[in-house]
Amino acid sequence: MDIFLQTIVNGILYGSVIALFSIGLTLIFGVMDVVNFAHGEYIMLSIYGAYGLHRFLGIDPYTGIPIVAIAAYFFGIVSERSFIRPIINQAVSVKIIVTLGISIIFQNLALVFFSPNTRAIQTWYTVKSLHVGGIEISLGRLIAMAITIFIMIILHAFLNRTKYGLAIRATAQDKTTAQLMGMPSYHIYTITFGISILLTSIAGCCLAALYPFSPTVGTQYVLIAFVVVVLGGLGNINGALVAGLFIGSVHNIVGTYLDLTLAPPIYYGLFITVLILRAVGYLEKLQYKLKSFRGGK
Amino acid sequence: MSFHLLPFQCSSKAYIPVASLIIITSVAPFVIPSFLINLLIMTYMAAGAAMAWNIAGGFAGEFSLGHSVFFGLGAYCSTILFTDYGVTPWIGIFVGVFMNVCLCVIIGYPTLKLKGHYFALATIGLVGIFFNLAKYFKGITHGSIGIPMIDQPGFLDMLTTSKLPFYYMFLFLMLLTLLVSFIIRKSKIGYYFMAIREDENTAAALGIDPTRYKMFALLISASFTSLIGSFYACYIQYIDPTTVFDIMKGVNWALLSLIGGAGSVWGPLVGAFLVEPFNVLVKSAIPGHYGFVSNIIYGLLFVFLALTVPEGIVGYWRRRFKK
Repeated sequence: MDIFLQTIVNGILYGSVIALFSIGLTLIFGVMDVVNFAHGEYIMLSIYGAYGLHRFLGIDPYTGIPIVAIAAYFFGIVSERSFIRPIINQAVSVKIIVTLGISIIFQNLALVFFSPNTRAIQTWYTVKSLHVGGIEISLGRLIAMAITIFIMIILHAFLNRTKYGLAIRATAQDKTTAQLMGMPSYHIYTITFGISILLTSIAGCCLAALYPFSPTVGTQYVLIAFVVVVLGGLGNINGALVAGLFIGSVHNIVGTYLDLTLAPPIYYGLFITVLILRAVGYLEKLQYKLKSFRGGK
Repeated sequence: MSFHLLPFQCSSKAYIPVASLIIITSVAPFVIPSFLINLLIMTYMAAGAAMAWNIAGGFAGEFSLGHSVFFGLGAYCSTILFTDYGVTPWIGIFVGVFMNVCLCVIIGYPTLKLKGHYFALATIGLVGIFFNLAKYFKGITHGSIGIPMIDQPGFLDMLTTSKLPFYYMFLFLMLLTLLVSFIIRKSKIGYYFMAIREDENTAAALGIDPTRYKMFALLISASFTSLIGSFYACYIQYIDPTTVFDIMKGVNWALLSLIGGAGSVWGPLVGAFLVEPFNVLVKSAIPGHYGFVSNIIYGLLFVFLALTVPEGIVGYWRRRFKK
């Protein structure tokens, strides 16, 4: 039982970071309808940003979050203007090629400049852990989860209580009507992309503090992000949080009780299944049945 | 003037580039320096795989980024059968095709209901699944260690000391895929594929069964990719999950097709011939991890071409010069 609880706790801790870097992806998808294949490389770049701060300025990753986040926001805005905006109205294949191409460029730039070596950051909290009732909770991961919760609260407040948040939600729901109401879509797209990269960079800092990394790490994270985004519902931020925690738990449970190599096939399998169920309309049917069941009571 | 010898209508204009291609490529190994033979083999492989992708992705609009799964499955089938069971690769490659057909039938029917980027994501998921399963089922696949093919030159075993036979085998595969692309493009089947690609609902309303034809396109595409995978395994003489279930291979074929012009017959070949030699050369010329510079240029090329000529080089050429 202890092992199970420990596994779940670790899963939730891991899942919260996964959720954090997936929220950016689902936000872009919900608002702009672009599947950002380059998302993983933004994660990777923010990890290296945090690493750079740590190595050259001695700032530890969590403390460096504000710096990395602001830099990331501007980087996101510049990116959006350069290569996302031209492709927003193009065919799906063009969107995919361009974002994939950007992903290839960033990843290989990192490979050239940062070398393919795997690195890691050691901080005082990487090795400390709390012991609660027989379960060991790594301090570093706990901080990451706290950050995730904090960010979720702020994001929620931003999206629901501010004018910009309203504009973003409106554009996500119906771009044309939002435009008719006076909300400048392209401006909103830029800001949304910036926010997405900002969120992603915070996740990147957490990842830099907790796990080893190399320039190719973006690919593996982005695949997990896709799974989370699809499972949570494309564009659904709360869904991304829940799905992130779920995937983190699945990953750890499968890793503990079966074999870590089996974890990806299981959640990719879930991913494909959910994609297909969505396409077939089964999920809507299920939702409808649940609603009518509750209404019937 | 048109010929009726072949099962499709074709003007004599098409024969000139094809004939010259065949002649030049057949004679090439004897006139070029031998270190370029490997380059050409890699190019033919990329061209063949890109054309195979194009059958599903370009003609039928099934934008798959997971073609590596067919490649890897074909490679593993023929290699395992050869190394562990002594079955000659000449039979093994067809077993690989059969396994891929089974995979397509099982996975294809549900997955083909997806469109656009959802389908692309699902195919990426598939590669991930197979990559990890290949590592997990060590008993069958030898896991991450990979399978080296023991060096016993012999025709039956498809192992040779010189590269020349492989040069002609890959060339043959590439030309075969080109021929099949031609046949599909000019035939009723190709017409159905393209109708489904343009507007699936209207095609269905006109009596074209989208499920059946989409599956058919995927099957053809997967079979050729599987053949190429099996031959690749015999050529490289070593496979492991990371090499053959590498997502980037499949992505690369899709990108090459799109650069050259997906949906056209020559497009993937043009794309492959332009990009792949460059890639191989730069990678081998720049040592160490600076060799990744070739990928940066490759990525830049894709982004640039996608933004300026999204219909591909062939599409652009047709638009500008064939009024």
